[in-house]
Amino acid sequence: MARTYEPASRPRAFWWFFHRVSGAVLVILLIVHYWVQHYDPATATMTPQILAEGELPRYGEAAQRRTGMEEPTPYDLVMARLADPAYAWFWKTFNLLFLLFALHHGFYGLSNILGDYLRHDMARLIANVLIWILALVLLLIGAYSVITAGWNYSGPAVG
Amino acid sequence: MKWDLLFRYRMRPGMLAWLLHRISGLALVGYIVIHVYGLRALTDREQFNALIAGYHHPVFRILEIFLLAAVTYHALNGLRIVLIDFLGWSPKQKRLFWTLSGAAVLIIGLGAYPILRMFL
Repeated sequence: MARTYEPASRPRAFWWFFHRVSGAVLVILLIVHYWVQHYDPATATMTPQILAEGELPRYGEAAQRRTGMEEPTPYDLVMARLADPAYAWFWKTFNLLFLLFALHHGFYGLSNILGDYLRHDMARLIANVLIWILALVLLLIGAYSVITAGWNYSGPAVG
Repeated sequence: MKWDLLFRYRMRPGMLAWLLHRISGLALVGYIVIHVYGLRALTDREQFNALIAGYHHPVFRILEIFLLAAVTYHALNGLRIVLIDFLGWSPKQKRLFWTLSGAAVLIIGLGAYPILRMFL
């Protein structure tokens, strides 16, 4: 059985505090993320269209102006941020921060929930090791995708 | 299954808020795993376009509304938790719960409208 009480610890108090801070930061990052991906007609990759199999979304004038293309694809809209040397550093920093805060906030919360239901110290330890490995793997996958995005981008596809 | 476990809780606003926060939080962790894993497509034009086109499928549009609901509730109730913990708003927590729930319903409705309109 788990010990009834654990001694109070400073690191734990800090992470409790940080969970609230990261939550507040995430609200701001999420609003920007939603605005850019779903609402701003010049940058939104998700449109309100329902598409048939194999069809790509059709974007409006604002997106055409921004990418300088007649028929920009979703990839071109994202590359206007991640492949453009003037903006890429900003958006890559934004995405990496977002990734770090979201993964930490989510997996810290998951760790708390599991801690509430797993009654044995060893079960908690194993669960924590497993979920933080998963978080680290996701951080590496996400960071690699964000950092290398746009490295071989060369305008629209031929044809 | 011990389903009575769920009903043994006394469902006052604070408990309901806590339970919904927990459920929406778990859903969002599930979502972030899928979302970050899918972002591998960022390095390839064909793969990324196929991913985004796939998200325009009706099933994903409906799931998107659930995602918006989970994010909105979790963010607003998180704000309530911060106000209670840091500004000592616990005496106001019930009124705060109903006020923020109203705001959540409004935001979810506004966000879901353009998606649902596409089905009409």
